[in-house]
Amino acid sequence: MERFFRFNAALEQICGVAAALCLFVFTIIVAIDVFFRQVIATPLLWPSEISVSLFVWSVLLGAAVCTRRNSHLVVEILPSLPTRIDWLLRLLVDLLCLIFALLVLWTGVKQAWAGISRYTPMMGYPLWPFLVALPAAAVPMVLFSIERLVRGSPPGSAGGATAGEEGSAA
Amino acid sequence: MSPILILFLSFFFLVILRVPIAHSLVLSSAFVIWLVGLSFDLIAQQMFHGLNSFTLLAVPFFLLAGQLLNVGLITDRLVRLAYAMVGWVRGGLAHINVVVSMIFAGMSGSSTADTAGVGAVMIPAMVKRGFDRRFTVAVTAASSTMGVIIPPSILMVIYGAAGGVSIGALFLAGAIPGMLIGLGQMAYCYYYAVQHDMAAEQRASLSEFWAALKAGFLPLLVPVIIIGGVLTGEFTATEAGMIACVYTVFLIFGIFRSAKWRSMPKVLTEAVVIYSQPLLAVAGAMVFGWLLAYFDAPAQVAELSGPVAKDPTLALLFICAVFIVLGTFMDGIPAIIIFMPIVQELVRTSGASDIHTGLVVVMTLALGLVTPPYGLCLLLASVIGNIKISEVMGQIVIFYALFLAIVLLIIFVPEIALFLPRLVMPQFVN
Repeated sequence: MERFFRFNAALEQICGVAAALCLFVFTIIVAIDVFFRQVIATPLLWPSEISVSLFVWSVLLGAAVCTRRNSHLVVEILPSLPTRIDWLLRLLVDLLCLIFALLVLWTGVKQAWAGISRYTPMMGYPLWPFLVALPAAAVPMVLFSIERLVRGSPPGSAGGATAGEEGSAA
Repeated sequence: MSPILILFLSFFFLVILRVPIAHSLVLSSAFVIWLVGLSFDLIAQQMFHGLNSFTLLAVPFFLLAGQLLNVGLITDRLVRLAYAMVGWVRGGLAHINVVVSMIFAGMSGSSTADTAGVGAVMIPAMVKRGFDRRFTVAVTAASSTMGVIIPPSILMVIYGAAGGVSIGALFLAGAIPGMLIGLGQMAYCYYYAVQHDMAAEQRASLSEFWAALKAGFLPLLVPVIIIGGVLTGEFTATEAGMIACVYTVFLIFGIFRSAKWRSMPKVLTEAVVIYSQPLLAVAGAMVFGWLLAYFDAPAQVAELSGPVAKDPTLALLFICAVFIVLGTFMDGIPAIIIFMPIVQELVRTSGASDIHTGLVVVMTLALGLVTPPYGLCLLLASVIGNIKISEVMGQIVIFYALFLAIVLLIIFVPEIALFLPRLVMPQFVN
């Protein structure tokens, strides 16, 4: 088990770095796009599909990181108590999160497989590297959800981190 | 039981169990898909479709811009500028808190970045100056709500993208109401200062004022670039967000040298982790919203709401009430995506202006940022101020009432919101 946890810790690191890299690269791509259109007056066609795809990758990989950190947006209506029922409830939530990850993985693989011979509408790039983001990010989500189930939530923590700890975009 | 009802009930049930919002949206949809025998392929299709949008890139950009302003200590420069502008008024630091939030709102589209940045500087300063901790935290949280009302605004980008409404016109519509909120809050701060005998800060001399203006001048160009670019149609809101990021990077690393390149990876990773949460919920909301449309929910809601659907003011009051409840319990971004079809249907049947409606929705959701259990700005401010949320409630209620009064004023007097859009881009107003 220890090895599985260590593997997951490394995987979380990789997902985080990859997601941040995606953010960095798509920011630069959009900058190049605007520069070419506004300054050089030669609009480029390739940036929009590539930048959106990197954005999708970054969101999904970031979401995988949040799964391990247990920082997804949760509404705290029920107070979390150090009781047995609360522990069972957390177990149920972790199980539901695992089902979510498996659903995304399963339907994502099917979608990517179906898209293997399809191309993007504008540039005609192969579509699968775009579609594969969903199942690719679902794999760490599944692993992280299993880890959470095995470990049980750390004592004292609620079903999710309080929203304030991580904040939100809005 | 109708599938729509099952969908909503199972969603709320999961949310109450503390299943994350994004997961609840997908799981409740999956349950209904299984129940009525639709294809599960919908899940991946709609999730991918929901994220695959260039407009959504504005969310990371406007968030990152806010983070960069904080990392590069630009917020400190803005505080200095606000100090010179309003420090001399009675209760000086409270006014500075509000004014800095107003300026920050013009640079970043995110309210929580506002709370984090302004709170870190202003809360300790105000407490040190003798302000009550409860009032201090309340002012900080309440003034941050302007972040999503004064342009640019992440929520307006989402609303514009989901509803096919001009984002530029929405931005313009938010300007006057946002400033009204700022002025209203300053009026209350003045009243509070008189009641509690809080002194003013020293009046800045002309040379001090000049120095503060010089220090703040380059950062102040950020809102000018964003708003100017979007209004002239030179670039989209998404691109404006990118330009704000690149320009801020240039300022903090190149000109002010107030941050180190080494800190960049951490800033980027933090930004990704923060924006991936609401955006995963957007992906989930697309599945949920698809099912709502499939079962014809918008028409049913419009039918059920009877006379409300016929009168613009009633429709707006209804939308406002619904979004107050939603904003209390969930993030604004998925709330907009899920309920957009219903809002659009009500706009259509009642003949309300879509820009006016969009502004009311965004303002109402901003109100949710300061109400527990899901008031992110309030949570964040009380963490910085090291105080329990329940203790702050007494003060927050006053700001809440003030805010709600302004929302109602705008519902009844649409001109407050529509004046600027009508003046600058009349082609987008109705």
